[in-house]
Amino acid sequence: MEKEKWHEKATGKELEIFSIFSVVLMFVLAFVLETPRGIWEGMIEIVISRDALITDYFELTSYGAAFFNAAMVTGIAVLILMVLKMKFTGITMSVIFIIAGYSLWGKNPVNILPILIGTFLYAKSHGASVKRYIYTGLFGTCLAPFVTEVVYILPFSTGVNLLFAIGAGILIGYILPPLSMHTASMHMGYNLYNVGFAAGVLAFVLVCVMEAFGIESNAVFIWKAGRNPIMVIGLYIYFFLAFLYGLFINKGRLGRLRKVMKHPGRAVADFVLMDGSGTTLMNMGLMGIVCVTYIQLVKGDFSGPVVGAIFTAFGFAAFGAHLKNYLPVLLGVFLSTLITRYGADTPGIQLAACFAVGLAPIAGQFGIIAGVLAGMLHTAIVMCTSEMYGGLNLYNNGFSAGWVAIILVPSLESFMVRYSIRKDKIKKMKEQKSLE
Amino acid sequence: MRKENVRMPNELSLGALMGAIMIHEEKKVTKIVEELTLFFFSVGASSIESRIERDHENVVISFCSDYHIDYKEHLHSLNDYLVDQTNDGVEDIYWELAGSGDPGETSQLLLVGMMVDKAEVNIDDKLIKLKLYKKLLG
Repeated sequence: MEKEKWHEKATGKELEIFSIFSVVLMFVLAFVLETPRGIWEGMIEIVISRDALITDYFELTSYGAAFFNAAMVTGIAVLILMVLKMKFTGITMSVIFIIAGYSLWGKNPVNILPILIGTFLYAKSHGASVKRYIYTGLFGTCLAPFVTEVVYILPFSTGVNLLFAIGAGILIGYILPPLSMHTASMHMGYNLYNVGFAAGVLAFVLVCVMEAFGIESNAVFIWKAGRNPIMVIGLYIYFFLAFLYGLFINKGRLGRLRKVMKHPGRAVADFVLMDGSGTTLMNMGLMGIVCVTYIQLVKGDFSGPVVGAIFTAFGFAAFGAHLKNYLPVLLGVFLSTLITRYGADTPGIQLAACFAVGLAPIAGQFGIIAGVLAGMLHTAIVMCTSEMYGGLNLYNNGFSAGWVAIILVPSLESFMVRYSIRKDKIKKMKEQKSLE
Repeated sequence: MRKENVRMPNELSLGALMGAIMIHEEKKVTKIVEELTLFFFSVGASSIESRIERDHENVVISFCSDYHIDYKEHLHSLNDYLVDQTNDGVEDIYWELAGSGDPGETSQLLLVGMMVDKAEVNIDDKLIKLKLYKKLLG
């Protein structure tokens, strides 16, 4: 009886429960791995240090402090979404887990706030509810390193620099909503990281303006190498739990997963709305397991950025990505390491492999070969783009994926149109012959 | 089914800014019509009628279309993806994608479902009648 009541109350709130569980788990993990004093000192280090690409909080501080930071930032995001009474759907899961992932290498509770305030002001000044722009604001926190960077690179006193930093964050949060609206039609929804692409464009412009004044920002490289077995096992358990929870919600029915795999995944493919939260959680769990296994196979590093990238793939498995459309792109990234100067264990390529999930809709819509091509092209472009904005856009892969889609999709579409016209002609000729 | 008191315009925000937003809101309506027209083509329609009625900020988009019997099983997606799918957070990021995909693409139909406040779908042996309600911002 008690059990039934619990189940009734939980129905429709499974994703909220799972998100809160994940935040609590990160808090618990932080205190298991680090002393309260260590966490406090680590948090101060995280907040006051530069956050440009790539600043791995596992290496900068400790596992415990990094997970505490991730719990704080993700907790803020979940709290905002709950206070606004947002329906927890696929896009909600993608934003929550991209934030959780990037809180291990670039976002902290302080540097995300000005951007969120900017988005809030945009909504208010346009007479709209914040609910309409909250996802843009949360995704837009990928430019949080820009806020921190301004404190360090401007030539004024710390107080004045702080004011400029807050102003810059607010400006970013204000500009991103209208910008991201138009970038969606540039890549036609074939890049799942739409706000990442918009943020890359904005970061490029802002960095150019700063450079015009002689103010330059440089990328950094702080990276924890190695494969901590506890981390690997922990990730496998977490993703397996997500899968099991989904299976429990679906009352043990595995078959619905096949339905998810039929969607091409082009935005706006919200799997929660299309196939339910149980099926989506199973799909997310599978994607997480595949990403961890890939990094293990290529002997990669379970650094903060890689774990963050895996969390991102996990989240976007609720909003467009599944194994059928992701594996061809992943294969493309891997194949490119066989013919280019990059190795599969090169840090940037490890990230590209997991983040390639953003291009999964290309494989979903145009087939395996197109997906492989997209993965290969992404590998080449993503290694160049970071320098365009001094490492200040965390979603570097989102920016790169946008270019891949813009370049590849029109050609693929024209090819597909010609292919289907030829196919129709052949079909008609066969029909005519059979009539004769 | 219909969400009340959503998207209330702020009385203090007026002028040119509001004009620009209203243009976006009107474009959204045309995108919805475009996407649904594509959907009806995808189910073999030979006659499609659409109508937009506007009363200040409230818009009602009506469709009446026939369909080919071979595609009858595709019609359930109208109920699945249009009814009760309002999602405030998605519309302003992705509305430009409506009408941009292949005819009958389910994710774009879902986008329309997210953009409207209420949808009524009636399907009989020959005709599909659709009524979508949307409150415009601004």
